[in-house]
Amino acid sequence: MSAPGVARLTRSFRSAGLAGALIFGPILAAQAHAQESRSARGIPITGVVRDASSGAPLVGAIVRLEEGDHTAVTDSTGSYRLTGALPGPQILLVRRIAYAPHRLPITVPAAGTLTVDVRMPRVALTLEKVVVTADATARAHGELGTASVIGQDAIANQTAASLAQILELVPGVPLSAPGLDGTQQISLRAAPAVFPSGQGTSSLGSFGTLIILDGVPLSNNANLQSAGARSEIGVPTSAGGGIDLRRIPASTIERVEVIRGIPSARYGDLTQGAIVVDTRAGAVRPELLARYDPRTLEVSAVGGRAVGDAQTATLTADVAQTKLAPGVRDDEVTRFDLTLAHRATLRRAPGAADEQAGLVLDSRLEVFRLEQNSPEQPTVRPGATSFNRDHGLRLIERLRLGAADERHLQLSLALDHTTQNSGASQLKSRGALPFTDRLVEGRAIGHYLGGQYRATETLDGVPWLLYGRAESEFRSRRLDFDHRARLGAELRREWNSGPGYQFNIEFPPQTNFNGVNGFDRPRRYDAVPPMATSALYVDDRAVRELGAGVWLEAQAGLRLETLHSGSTWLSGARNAVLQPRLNVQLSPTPWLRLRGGAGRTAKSPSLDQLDPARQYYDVVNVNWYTNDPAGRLAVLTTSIRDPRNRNLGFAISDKRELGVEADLGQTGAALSLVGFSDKLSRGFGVRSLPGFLLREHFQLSDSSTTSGRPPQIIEPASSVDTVPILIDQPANNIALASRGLELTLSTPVLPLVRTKVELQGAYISSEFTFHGLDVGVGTDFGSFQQGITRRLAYWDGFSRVGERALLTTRLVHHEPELGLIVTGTFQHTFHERMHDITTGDTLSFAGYLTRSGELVAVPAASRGDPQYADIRRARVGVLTNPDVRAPDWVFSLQVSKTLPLEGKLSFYAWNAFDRLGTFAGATLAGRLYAPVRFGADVTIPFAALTAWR
Amino acid sequence: MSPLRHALLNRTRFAITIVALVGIMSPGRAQSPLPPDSWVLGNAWMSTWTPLSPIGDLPRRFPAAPPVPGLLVAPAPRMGLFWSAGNPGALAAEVDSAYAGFAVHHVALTGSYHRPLDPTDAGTTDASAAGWRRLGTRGAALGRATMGRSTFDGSTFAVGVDPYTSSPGITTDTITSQVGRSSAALDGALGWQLGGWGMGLTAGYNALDNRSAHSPRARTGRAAQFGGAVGITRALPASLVLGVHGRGLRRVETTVTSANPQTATIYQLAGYDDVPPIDVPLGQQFYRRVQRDGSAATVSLGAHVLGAAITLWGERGVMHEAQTSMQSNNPRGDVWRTRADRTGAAAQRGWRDNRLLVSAKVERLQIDGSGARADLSGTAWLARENQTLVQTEARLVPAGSHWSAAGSFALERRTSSANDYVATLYTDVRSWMPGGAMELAFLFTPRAAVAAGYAMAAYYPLATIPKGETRGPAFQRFLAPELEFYGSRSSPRAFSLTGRLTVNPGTRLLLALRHGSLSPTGSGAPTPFAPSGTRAATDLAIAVTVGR
Repeated sequence: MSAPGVARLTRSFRSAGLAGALIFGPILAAQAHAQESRSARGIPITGVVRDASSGAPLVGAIVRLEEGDHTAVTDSTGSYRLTGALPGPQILLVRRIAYAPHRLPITVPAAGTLTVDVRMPRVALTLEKVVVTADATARAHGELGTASVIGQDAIANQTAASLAQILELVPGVPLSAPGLDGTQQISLRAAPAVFPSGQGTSSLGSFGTLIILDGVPLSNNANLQSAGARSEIGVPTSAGGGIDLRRIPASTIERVEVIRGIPSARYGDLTQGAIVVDTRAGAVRPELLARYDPRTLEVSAVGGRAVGDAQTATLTADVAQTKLAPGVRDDEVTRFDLTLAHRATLRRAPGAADEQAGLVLDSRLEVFRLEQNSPEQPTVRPGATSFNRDHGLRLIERLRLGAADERHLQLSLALDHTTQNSGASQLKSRGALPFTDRLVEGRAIGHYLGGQYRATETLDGVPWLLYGRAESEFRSRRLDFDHRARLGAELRREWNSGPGYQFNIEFPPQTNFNGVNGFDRPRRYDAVPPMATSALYVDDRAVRELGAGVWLEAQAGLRLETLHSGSTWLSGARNAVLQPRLNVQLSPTPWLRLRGGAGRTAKSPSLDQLDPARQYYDVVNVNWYTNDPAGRLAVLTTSIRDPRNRNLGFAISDKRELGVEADLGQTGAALSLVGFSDKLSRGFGVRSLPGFLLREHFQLSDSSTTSGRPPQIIEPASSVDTVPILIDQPANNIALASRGLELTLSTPVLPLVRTKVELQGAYISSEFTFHGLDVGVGTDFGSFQQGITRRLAYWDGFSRVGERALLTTRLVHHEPELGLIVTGTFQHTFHERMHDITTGDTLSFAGYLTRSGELVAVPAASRGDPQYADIRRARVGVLTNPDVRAPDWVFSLQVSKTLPLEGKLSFYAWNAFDRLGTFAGATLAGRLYAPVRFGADVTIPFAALTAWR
Repeated sequence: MSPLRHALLNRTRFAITIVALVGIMSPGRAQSPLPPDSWVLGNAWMSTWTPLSPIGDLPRRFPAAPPVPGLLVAPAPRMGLFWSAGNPGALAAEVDSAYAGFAVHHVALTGSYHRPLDPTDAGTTDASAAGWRRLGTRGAALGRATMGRSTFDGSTFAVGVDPYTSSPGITTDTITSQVGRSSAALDGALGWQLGGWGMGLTAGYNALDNRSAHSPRARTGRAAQFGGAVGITRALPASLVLGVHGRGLRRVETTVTSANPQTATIYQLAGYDDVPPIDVPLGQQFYRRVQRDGSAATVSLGAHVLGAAITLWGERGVMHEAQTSMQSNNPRGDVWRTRADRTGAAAQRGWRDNRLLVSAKVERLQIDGSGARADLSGTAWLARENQTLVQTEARLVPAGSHWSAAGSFALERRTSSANDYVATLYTDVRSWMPGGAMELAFLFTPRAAVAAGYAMAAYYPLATIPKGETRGPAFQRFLAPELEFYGSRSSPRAFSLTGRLTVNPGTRLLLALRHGSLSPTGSGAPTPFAPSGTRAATDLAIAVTVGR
């Protein structure tokens, strides 16, 4: 959409009445279709829920279909009756306090009534068909796109300290040692490829992977915790990439849905995919989990209870600590998380489930703290410390009006507040250098700084996210299709109110200064304007039977996402993207699905990209250094360049996929094969804008070094020359084209050995392209600025391809009678390769840069001419030969066993064989695995603790 | 009975156990005057089957008194193709009950009478569980798991986990920093019986993480060991049972010593050679990786003769060990190969409904090893070691009496000869160690019982060892004291006190203490390198056991 068009559209949306009509109108309209809607109800499902060991009927068990909101509650005879089930393969979920959640694949017939009796065990490990891996043929709630669904049993069986390790159940995700090591980010459907400059697919991909926690997106857009461009001290931070997943404890997660394919129009601000995480809520059996391994200690507690008939309250708490290099360094990561969940259900008929209540109010309050500390070890690295501390508060209110299986309106409001404190210090040593701390442009007398000092920088950010969404959903039946339509609007405002990047400017975190590029200046984050985005979306999911047992299902949607030019939603549009999305599924038989989808998604830039730090240049005009400090004179001219890019807008991803699924339902056998193509254009990168500064040279009035006083400069300048500079401006100049295949194959349990095999494989190829000027890695731009070289070669863009083929094989041996599950996980990396499309020979340069910042293109035919001999050189960083890593594998072991009083003991060993991997050889790059990591965790129901009193 | 208590009992029967594995990873195994086996949840017979027991190796242990029978803490010894010969195919036939135990253990070691690579003071605390039960009518399962944490004072020169194996290659250093060690182990067995056939498998895994603490030179290490066995048995006429099983074991250990920030000195011992020190300069590290692969095949035969259950077995095992300091693909390294032959017999007979139960076991293990150094060609070392162990035990639980008693006798004959062709040295150590143990238990009330036991042994060596004074500093520091230790007479002693409270039929709470000591007893003139003083170990355990 053109910018003027967007502006017009935005202006028209300023009328709140229109938006209100859009959202609420369908609710009213749906009233008119109530009779028609009722006719759209599908097949009834009935049955009895019983205790697995005693056979007694269970009252109060909640039975529902995973797809959709059809819910029933068992009566005093344990009987239930579900209505509205659509024919075809479905997943039946049964829950009850003190029992293990039951997840049962069923096939709903086209006519008649389906009877499903359920026997619920108290402990999942004793359940005959417990699922401890991701279900690759299931769908995320309300979504038709390709997804992996990870349920509570799989989460409980997975050795995980954070969400990151749970996501290893998704095809194509490499295994990692459990713990809180390193910044943990996830990038869906992207193979690793890293430019010589350091930018890679992982940061771009993780930035574009949407994480939704308890119905509300998490955002890293306002995370500004990165030091200045010239800082020589790094801080551990997730800024510039995706959310640090360490903040989400695995022990408090109920369910994870990873939408790898095309999400519905409901989801925005993403390019790679969406991960929907629900933490535990409702009436949850209270239990305590304790984990110990030589590096990580974790204790978590979860519990929820009903308060009266209409309310439930749940508390989850988690404390974990990982020592990063015990015995060598004292670095550690500590996490604390506390979540309070409250649900009030009003206007509910007696015996009805929450989903059938007329009004449901969900409240969540989350407090978390994530700290990474590298304290000073005076005997090892004196003066060197670093830390990164995030602590936050998140408040979510969700209100649903109307019964879930009819029509309803859902309002979500969230406030996410994080305080981020990062910092680092190091001992620095430098020679005497002319220095100015001027904060505005102009010329000033400077002074000299030198010697050894302790440089300390702090980054104090306070990101905020204000989020709101209104969504109405209603059902209808038209053209023989059962429709479930959603219409919604979403508002986001993000800002940072922290004092920002601070350091003592006299003792800056850098020692390099070439007489042009100055020292960083402190930067206040609260001076960065907030960003506001809004979105409107409509989505319809329709299903109909085409013939005998042949079903067609489609989900189509349209999303308009707007990045506003100002800090409020009432301001004009800076950029807007219309995002059509479509998923289609044809089921010729109940067990076979042919699937396809296409759609566009978009991701907004971060606050730092919208408003980057100003770039300071301190050009030395006079550098008169004498032994006598009183005789020194430094004159510097400060220039400030604003790298903001007014045209910076959304990154856009065009996604396609085709797939086939065979799901044999209760046998547990399933096959899913998906081919995909994601083309990210206008990705966020940095472009170098050439320019120049004028440097004045002055004559001095007294050039004696023994006068005991500084000389005076003689105005005007005796000469002026130009100094080339490159301004680093955020730009939509990255492209990432990924394509690949994802395979999931689950066998039924082989009865003789009671073992199930699950294969998850992915081949992904990502072409990562940077468009724009590149002066090359390792180029001494400082020498060019100082005039030592008169011109500098440049190249046009860079393109690198990363490929990876991973196959993860899980052998799950289950002894329900013993309550024992042994899971062996082999991950085989068959193929990992990086190669460049860009050539790097001496004739690959595109032209040269002059000292006045001009780009002079050199035709390819002329690049061999003698006059270009000074700029002809091989491009550093270009791979002459592909970077191929040796195929290798790693194995992990997990053993879970029931304990008395429904507890559970798990043992795990990551890289259990302590395989080293492969060292780099003559033709292959190395692949070294982290050492064996082992530990155990114990889950104890609180009932067990009280039983011993 | 409350539903929770009922659930506890039911579940406990299903639960896995542990504890003999404590011996695998605690300092009590090779550095203690107490017997190496686990105690509270069972004696050595509970661990024979484990696929994690060494193949082709005869670890050099401390002289120790025979185990006190443990009348109150463990079921009576069991014998058979599974329990004695380790054939998992016999599991289903030999497990006829349910048993489970949970224990928390603390072992403390102290005393200067030890080898150079042993710590003076060490402690281990661990939590463990073990159990077995039948699965339906044709199957049985057994499992154990333990997790522990050990601390070693700054007196040991050992970089690796277990420096006193048969291998001549040992990495040592002069850091002597405090070390913390976390460990975990689990093993289990599943067996089925189909007509006259039995089949089964065992699998085991343990891992260790070693890290120095409060040291200016970092010593880190880790080890992982995994093993498995598959076996079948066949019932033959005349109550004979023939069994065959194969077992594989792999162990990898990696140690890294870093100059962080102070420099370190490493001695990479190679047999009896007087190796030069290796200096690790600032910012660098010394790396050593040891990989040991073993496999063994066993034939076993069971029979019932004159009311006694008799088991015979013979095993051939081979082991290959490679050590290297190169961090590269296909690194060169030192090699140690062994061939091991193990033969044994066990018998058990009960009278009066097993109120008098007599058990006896004889086992002989012989190891022939040869080694080569990476820096030399040809054979550098040859060694032959053998151990013959005779153990008998009688336990009496008279009907209607509050008293019960048990006694045991053990005799160990061990010879060890090694020839180092590089150092041109030869050693030969032959020893006898007779010992006995006695335990009395008294039932105060139907629910409360106590037991006291005492054990002693005498270690008589005859050693031909090099004169340390004529060797270099590395030999004098690391090797001579060890050889002198094995060449010195000593006398281990141990006593035990146990209290047992029966919470309900089948569920027992135990508090157990045992203490052992070792001191030299020789009357000759002390040699300059021989260690002196005493060595003591105290073992305190609290446990819950369920079942028979």
